[in-house]
Amino acid sequence: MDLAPIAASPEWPGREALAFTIVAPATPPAAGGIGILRLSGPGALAIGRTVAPAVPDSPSPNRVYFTDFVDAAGAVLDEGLFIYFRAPHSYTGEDVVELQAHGSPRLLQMLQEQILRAPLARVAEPGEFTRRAFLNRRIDLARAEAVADLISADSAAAVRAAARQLGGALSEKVRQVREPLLALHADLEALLNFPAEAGDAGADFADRLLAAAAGTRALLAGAARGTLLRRGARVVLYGPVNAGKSTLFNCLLGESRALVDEEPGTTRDALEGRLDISGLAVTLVDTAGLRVSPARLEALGIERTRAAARSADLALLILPPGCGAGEVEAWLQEAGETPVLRVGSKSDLGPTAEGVEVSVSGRTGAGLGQLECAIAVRLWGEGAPQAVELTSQRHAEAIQRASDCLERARRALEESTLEVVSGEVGLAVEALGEITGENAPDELLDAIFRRFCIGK
Amino acid sequence: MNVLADRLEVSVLSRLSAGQEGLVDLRKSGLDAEVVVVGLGHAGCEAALACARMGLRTLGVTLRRNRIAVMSCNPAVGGTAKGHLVRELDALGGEMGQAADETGTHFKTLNASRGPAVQASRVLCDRDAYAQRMTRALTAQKHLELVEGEVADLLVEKGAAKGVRLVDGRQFWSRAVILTTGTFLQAIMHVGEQKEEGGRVGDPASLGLSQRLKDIGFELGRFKTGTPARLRRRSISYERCQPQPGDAQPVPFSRRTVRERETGRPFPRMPQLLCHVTQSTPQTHRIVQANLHRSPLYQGRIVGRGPRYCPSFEDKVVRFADRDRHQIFLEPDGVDSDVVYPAGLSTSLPADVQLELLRSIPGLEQVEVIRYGYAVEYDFAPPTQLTETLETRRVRGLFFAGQLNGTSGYEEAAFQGFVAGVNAALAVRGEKQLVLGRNEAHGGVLIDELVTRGVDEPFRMLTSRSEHRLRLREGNADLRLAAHGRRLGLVSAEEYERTESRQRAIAQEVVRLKSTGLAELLRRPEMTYARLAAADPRRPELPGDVASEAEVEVKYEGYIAQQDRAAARQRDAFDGWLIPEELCFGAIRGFSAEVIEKLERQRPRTVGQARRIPGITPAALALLLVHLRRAGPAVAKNVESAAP
Repeated sequence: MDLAPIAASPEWPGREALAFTIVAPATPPAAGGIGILRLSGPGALAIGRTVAPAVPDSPSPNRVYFTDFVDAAGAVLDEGLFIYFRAPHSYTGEDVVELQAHGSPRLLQMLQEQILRAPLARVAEPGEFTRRAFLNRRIDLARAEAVADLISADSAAAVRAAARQLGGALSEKVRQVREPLLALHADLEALLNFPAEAGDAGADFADRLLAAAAGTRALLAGAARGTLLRRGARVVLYGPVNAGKSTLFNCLLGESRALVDEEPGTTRDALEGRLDISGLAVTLVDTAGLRVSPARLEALGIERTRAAARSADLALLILPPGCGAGEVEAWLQEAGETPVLRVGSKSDLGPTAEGVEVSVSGRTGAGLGQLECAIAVRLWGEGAPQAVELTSQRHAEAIQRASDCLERARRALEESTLEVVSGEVGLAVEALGEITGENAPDELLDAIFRRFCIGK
Repeated sequence: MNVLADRLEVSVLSRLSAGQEGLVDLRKSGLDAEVVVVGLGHAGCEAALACARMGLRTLGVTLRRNRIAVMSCNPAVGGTAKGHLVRELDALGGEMGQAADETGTHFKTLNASRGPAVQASRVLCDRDAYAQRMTRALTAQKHLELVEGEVADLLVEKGAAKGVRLVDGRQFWSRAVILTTGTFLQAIMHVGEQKEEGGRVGDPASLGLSQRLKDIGFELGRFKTGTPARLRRRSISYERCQPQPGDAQPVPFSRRTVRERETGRPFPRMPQLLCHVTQSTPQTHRIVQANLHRSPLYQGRIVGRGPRYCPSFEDKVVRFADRDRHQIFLEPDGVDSDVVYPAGLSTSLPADVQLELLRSIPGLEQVEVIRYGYAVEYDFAPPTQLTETLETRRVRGLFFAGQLNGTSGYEEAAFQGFVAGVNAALAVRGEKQLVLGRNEAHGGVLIDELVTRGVDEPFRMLTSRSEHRLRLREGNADLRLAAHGRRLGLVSAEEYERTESRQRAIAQEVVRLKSTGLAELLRRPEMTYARLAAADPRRPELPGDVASEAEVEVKYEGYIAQQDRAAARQRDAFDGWLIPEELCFGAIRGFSAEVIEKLERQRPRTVGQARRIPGITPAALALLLVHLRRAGPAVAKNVESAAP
């Protein structure tokens, strides 16, 4: 299991004892309706009560107390709510107290200063509540990382994915692939270690291997989409000069970023803008037009355009009316491996070019909605980008490894020996376990002994 | 103590103090021996032989001299992973392999079709011949003397082992002590409702030593194991069972046996015997079910935990209730023996129930029982109290090996005995200790698992425990380990040269196959080295054990590289992080008291070892890594990269 994302990140300083009670505002420092101060640690209740002495010294957990908040001299500062979560039934797994006061930043600051007078209290460091939840085994690694993703999420869908992962949905999905795979590994190892007793282990190894491989492939597809979610997609506009790319670019972004001119070859450098398409963060790139035989002034821009198209997640080939099939074919070649969506532009000016998938008019705005839809479908496949997906690079890497192992296992089943098959299956199980942090050392043996009557 | 023992002792003392050439003058230093080995089962025999062969004056103490190297359970040596241990032991200079070769009556290669690394040798031995063969090796061994008696106490001064005191008051002073007491500590045998003290039928338990170990501060746990009834061969109707012959061309364990065979000595030496297979019946299972209340296991009278891979028959019937039959292997005890061992029928049910259930099995309708099966409960010392050399952390110069460490199996015991013996000898001589890497030997995995993870049931070696399995084959044990054996002086220069030249020949052939493009052909699934001959007219004349290894190396090269990469990834992530010896785990903030206690007690050398300790959570591991990363590159990643 690779712990680097947590261990190396500055949010996880790893030097404080859990003996301290930490405190921090749980709401942004702005004047709002409600301001929440959260305390976590062994002294949360006692320290919390110093500002809310009216709360009984052993309050019922999870119950809301309406109380006065007071300063050191006992003068009432505000009134609000006091909620006590008893360890381990709290977010961090420790005693947690939440104080909900009126949202003045000054008031929260005064309450916090009062709380920090307690000798074992201090201000929480960034991410520390989550870190404690992880240390106290309230959340697994996948969920802890999801919290980090959540904090830096850029689009609505990324927030949803991180939230789903936080809810354990990712772990669950991986587990559904891993469990049958572990059973398969146990069967193979039983056969290899106890040949006399486990001789009746299933002969359906090939089928089970195929099923597991399909499972990891599905996870892998999710991983690709997860990467899209996390870092957003890059979509490049390219096509013949003066096809209307910049007009379309501006339409999609809803602003005049690109210089628009009737003169061909106006855009010489790539321009970028960000937008949200069906909840997905998309970076839209406008490029210089390409001519099949380019003018020398444009040569540099054209090279850049080709590179931009080839490194994108999706290329939009913008085709003005009258483009012939041969020309379209030549443009398609330019994009290399990148998937291409053929967009007919200037639909208001005449019949669209050959083989166009969507027609739009930058001038009238006709077809823009269909275009956004088509972009989303091509990037994402069917359905809105909200299903739980693997969002961390570490997860994607582990799934890729598991998938490679299973491919080798499948080949080995045909051309090598069972010990090789089993070895690869074992590595796949291990790789999947890295995501959920589940690789217990005795897991395999437990599975073998559960499944087989071993023993001469 | 009896007369024999007294006489033995006199001869020991006179001979040990005779001041032979080049040896320590024991009398001058006030010693009776340099190393004392307590117990002469499979661990003790290897320990005593290794010490004595390394030139140390060694004293072996056994409860009864005629019970040396007794096979207390089935008369077999080897099996999956165990065969590997025997080969490795042989490559290092141990005795078990040769003894099994010489007394084997039924040789079988398991898993032959499932891959070269899981392929394993198993040999049924003539039980008495094996013990006699091993006893002869001990009595003939220079620098080794044997004493009969029960050890009552360890002599410990200033935290170091100084010898042993026997129940009869005799004391033997030494520089190191190796305890290999097997199942004899506080041993209780159960047959049905009856229980009696004893480590094996006919042999007394060792009672005082357990308390003494606790007084010194050792933690002890309790395990149980069991053994089936012994049957009278003439009372079995073999025609109702399925015969199982051994291999037509038996393969010996020991390289030395291979060489002897090449020079004309016959192999196998003993007449070869047939085994038979039969099966329990639904009726058998009904008998067990009806009498469960009379099993000490199910009455809660046995508290020790038993091995899952060797369950009692009553456990099998209960846990796998949907199965209407279980295989029973009828294994002959020896060439001239009338005893048959029914493998798969370990039980502690009362004698009358045992007889009834035996007679419900085809072939055993008229069976007569020589001795009923029983369960034995015994004390073991959790092996996390040891370092990787098998020396105890608590007492310097004190080593534990074998079943005392919570393992089961003759092979596991023998391997530990050898390692403890070698390390006791090296410690006495003040030399660098022998620690085998997990990538070098299954024996290295065995000891690493024991001392870093500990045991929660009697520990049996399995090839699945190794992340380097494809490298750790029976077929290359000598190639992997002979250099260690040579360094220790336990492998002769001549034998070592032979291994070296085999190594060279294999490497040469691999190069030839690759340079001629034949390797590509050989890698095809249906292709074998033998079949390749047609396409390979200029092939050199090679011994079989060179050709077979070259074939494996070519065919498995890609998979081995894959396994190496996976292991290296783990190593980089965890094992590559050395934990400084002076690191105080208690000072790392955020650890729970339980984690600190476990880490302080076991003092893992690397984060990888820490990770294998049960109860060390991913969170604790993350904290440890954070701490080490902060400590800077000086301590990080400076572990020696032993992996190939």
